[in-house]
Amino acid sequence: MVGPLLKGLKITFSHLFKPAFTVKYPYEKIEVAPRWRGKHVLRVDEEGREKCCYCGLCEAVCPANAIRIYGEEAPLEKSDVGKIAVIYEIDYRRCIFCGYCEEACPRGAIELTTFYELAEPEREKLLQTKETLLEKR
Amino acid sequence: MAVKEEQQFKELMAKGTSLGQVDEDIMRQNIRTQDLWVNMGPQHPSTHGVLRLILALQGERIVDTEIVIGYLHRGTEKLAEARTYHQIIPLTDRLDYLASPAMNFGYVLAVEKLAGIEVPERAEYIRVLMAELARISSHLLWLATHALDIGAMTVFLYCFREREMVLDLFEMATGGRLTTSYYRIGGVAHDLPEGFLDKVKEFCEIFPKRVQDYDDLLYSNRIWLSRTVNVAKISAEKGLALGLSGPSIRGSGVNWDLRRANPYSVYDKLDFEVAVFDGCDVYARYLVRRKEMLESCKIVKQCVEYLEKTEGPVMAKVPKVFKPPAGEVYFATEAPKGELGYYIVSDGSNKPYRLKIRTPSFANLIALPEMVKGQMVADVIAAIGSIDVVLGEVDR
Repeated sequence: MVGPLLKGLKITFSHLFKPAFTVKYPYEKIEVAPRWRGKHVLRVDEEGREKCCYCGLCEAVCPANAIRIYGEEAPLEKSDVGKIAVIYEIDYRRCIFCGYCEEACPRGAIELTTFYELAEPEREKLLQTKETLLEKR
Repeated sequence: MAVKEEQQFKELMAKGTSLGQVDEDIMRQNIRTQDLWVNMGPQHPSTHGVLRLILALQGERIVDTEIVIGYLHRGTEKLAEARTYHQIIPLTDRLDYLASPAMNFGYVLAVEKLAGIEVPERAEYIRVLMAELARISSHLLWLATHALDIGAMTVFLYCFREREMVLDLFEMATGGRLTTSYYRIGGVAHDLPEGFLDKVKEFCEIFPKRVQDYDDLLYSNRIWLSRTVNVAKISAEKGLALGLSGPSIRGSGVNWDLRRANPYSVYDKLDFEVAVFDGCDVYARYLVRRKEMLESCKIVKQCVEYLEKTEGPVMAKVPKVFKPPAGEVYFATEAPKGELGYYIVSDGSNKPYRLKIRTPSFANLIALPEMVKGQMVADVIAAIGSIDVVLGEVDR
């Protein structure tokens, strides 16, 4: 009867001398995989023009209806195809981070980054607009 | 003294019984017992989510159990009617969130059967690899929480450590840890990243040793045995009549595993044993899942062997606007918890007309009242653990 208990105790005791497995989170950050589906980013090309050309595929494919997009004609110095998304909103209260928008985008304009600390104290701040999404260069 | 009791008193005195004996006899005749109704859940930590049970008790013994579900109802089946076939995949992740690849797997196989899509073999192997890793991860979490419920906290910590390794593998390949959304109709989203298979091999090396650790803590532990052996028994006939499936029925000695009984994907090319134990109790179901983890590890190894040797496409040619032909299809797969079936009715449009999901935990849960009848209150916890319910798929 005592034998199996002692065997168990031996295991727990041996773990005392093994390195800790936990990470002290806010002080130590966890490295995530490159494929991680975190915060979105709207990419810009080499000349600083937005890649998004308002085709609306991301909006159509989104299973959670989290994306709202509205576009207009734009001069060529702002967009290489003459169209630009004036409004690009992702509602992080709805987004499920499935990555379908990234997959659907034909121009690689929207991508999911490895940034994962997305909590906000107010719900309103979870609405991502073009200002917060656009890639900074 | 009530009139009735006074009369009884007089009768007994007339018979010549002693005064003390008379008092006791009257008390015996007049004391009645009453069923006590106790609410368990939905916030109870050991109900694994939001399961609510109403228990009727005679002292510590259970005479009746009523299951109340629906606290996590999100209307997945209805939502699916307003989504395209591709958009439903992330919804299926959220059924059994502890084994989302397995949930995706059943769905995509059903749609592929409906549309008659041939999937590249490499994609099939990747899918099986992921589904078996999901089985390991799901069973690890089950063992962890089940042991924690019964009082073995150490196992909980060790199991979570290994589960973390599996989740890291998911993260590496799919980008998500819990809701992977990796499977696509006709294949998988991307090919495996570089170095992934080496990490899987590393895991397969370590894992059986870690199972040995859990065994040392539980397998012949006196406390574990007395909490599980001969607890929450259910016979094979009763279990089959109630529609039990998966490890819960294999713990009653029924050799029924859809991977063997009705091989889908590439399971007929893989070598593994179906874990069957005939103890009918919580301990037998523990043994089944424990063995299944090791068998899954074997399957994973075989998949890795295949994937290392071959290269090729991981996605069949599926049109962007996917419209399967009108008709209906039912496809059942062996999810970690049991038989997972998707029934799809298509009217030829890009959205399903109806999607019915036969989730294993929902069907297994109905056996709970049968299992715990006449058992102690504490055994309910063991019984819930042993059928491994996940409320995400019970309520859907």
